[in-house]
Amino acid sequence: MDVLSGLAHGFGVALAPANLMWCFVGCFLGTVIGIIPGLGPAATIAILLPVTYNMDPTGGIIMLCGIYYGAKYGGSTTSILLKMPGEASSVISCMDGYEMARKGRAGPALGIAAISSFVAGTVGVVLLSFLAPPIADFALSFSSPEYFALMLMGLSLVVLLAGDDLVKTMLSLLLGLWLTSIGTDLFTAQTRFTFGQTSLLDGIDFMSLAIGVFAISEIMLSIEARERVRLLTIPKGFRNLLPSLEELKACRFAFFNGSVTGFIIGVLPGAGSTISSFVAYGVEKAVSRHPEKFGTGVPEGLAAPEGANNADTGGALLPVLTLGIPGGSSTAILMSALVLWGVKPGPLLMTQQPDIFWGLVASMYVGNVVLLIMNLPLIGLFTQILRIPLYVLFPIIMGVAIAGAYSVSGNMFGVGLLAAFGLLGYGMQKLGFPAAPLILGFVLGDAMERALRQSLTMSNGDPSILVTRPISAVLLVLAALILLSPLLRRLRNRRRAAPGLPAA
Amino acid sequence: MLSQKLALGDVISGLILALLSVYIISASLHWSVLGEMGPGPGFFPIIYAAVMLPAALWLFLRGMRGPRPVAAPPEAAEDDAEADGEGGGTQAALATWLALAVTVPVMSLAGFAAGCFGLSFFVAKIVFRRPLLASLISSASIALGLYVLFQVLLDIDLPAGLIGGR
Repeated sequence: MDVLSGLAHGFGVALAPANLMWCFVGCFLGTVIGIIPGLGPAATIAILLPVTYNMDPTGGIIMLCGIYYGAKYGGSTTSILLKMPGEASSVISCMDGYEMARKGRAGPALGIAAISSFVAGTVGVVLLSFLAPPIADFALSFSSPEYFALMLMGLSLVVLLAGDDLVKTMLSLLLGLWLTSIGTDLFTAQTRFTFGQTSLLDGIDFMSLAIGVFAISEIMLSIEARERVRLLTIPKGFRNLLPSLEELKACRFAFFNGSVTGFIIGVLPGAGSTISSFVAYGVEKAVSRHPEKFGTGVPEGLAAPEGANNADTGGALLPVLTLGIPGGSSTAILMSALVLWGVKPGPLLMTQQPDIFWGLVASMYVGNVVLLIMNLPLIGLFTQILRIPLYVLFPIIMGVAIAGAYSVSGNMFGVGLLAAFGLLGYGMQKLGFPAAPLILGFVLGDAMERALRQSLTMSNGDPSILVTRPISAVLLVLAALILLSPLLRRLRNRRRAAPGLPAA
Repeated sequence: MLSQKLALGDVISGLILALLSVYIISASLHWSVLGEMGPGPGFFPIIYAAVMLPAALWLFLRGMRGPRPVAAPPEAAEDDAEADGEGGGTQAALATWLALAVTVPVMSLAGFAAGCFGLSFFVAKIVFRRPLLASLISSASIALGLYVLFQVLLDIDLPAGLIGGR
């Protein structure tokens, strides 16, 4: 199936009334949680995953993905109106977005954010549509050694990019690998690290881990911060939300920059939409004729990061759907959702499950239009959500989290784990350990161990199989370079700083 | 102040993770590591624990050396002041977590609705200091609403208490 016929098939699936409804529900929920500061898409997808258990996988993944990219649209609203980013990826949007709002241009700022998100989000999906088939074809030649090397390279990039502290990021990842080892070894039926608990024989439930680390810890952090909300007013009337022609002209390059930068960085594991929005802002400022005005309310300073964090979605889904390797926490949870429904993400997905692959891709085109409508004329309605008191909102989230953890595990032990992982997530945040590598280590650990053990079984225990196959060797060298790059950079800086040595 | 807290955190977390990696290695050595059929169940854990141990020790030692000298941004002083005053917030966050942890045995005994009511009431009355009546009304509404949503409308099983409640 070529790209155009794939897309035609996908639109047939995505425009079916039930799937259209799930796309709308996902976008709606995404916008809502994007607007609520403190509750991220990873937590929401994890909480709602048990609810989708009995759903058709196509409708389920369309809805969960809608939450994922919808949250990025909604995240800009609070950045602009409150200077309080709803999502980490919208932090940079506070700078020029809030300044525009303070100058009485709140409406056009919201309009620019929505238009830029729509343009870049759509470009990201177009790139995903056309790049996924060749990458999946290439990945069909992969065997266990290549998969192991690819996962190792992906996790190396996560270690490099996902946190500020390399050691803590690596430890978080390794902790995730350990947690996924708990349970019964599938090769030999040996129980590992179960501490004599029969409830741990099947391993740790992913839902308890994800909901605990993201949702419960986020609630605890929000309660600790106790942020007060003071909303800037949004002008009434659709016309007042539209940017002027001059503002749109100023954003021309920002739309392009956000789309391309966001997609490329989205593909990289561990980088995520926060980095893509910062990079796009930096590029925009670097090429601007008036960089000194950035931070004072220039429209392109808002359009570039908002575009980038939405184009990032298409890029982030590319390795998940074609290789089965997620690069961030939200995509890791989306991949787990597919696995829970019995769907195997990877190079065969688009040929064996075209309804899911092309249906999802097409639904993202539809979703971007739905979100543009939701985020322009209906934005005033969505901001009313900020009026829900936190003493009502937080217990609802915790209640839904408990119901979700219980429905998956079927016992209170799963709920106990949820509480334990909530405390772990909170402690990690307080001590500067990023949570995303933990989740990625947990999701990929099992497949990584299987690929490594299968590779060594193939070679009768000879580890050279990992370096004698060309693709695997190249990926392993890249992984080594990625892991060593901070060390090499430090050595180079030290040499530069040494007296008597000329700068390179 | 904040960086000192982080340094102490590095010491504690480094020590815990170092002990964990020693435990992983010692437990894995009891299982087959490399056999005739290829790598055994102890193989992979030994590899990652061998990476974890030096990284954790590095973190521990780095914490022992004290806070890292970082070029202080202008807001650093404000951040430290905020960190000093955040004790109440931390207590509230930990109290909320404790309430969640206590909810687990409560739900095992009295079911989902009772546990959810207790948790919601604690958050409203104790954490957010809402008036008694408002706390009671919001907690009862949340417990009832979630029960109806999951058990009745979505047909998702909720924890059933030993004394018969859901």
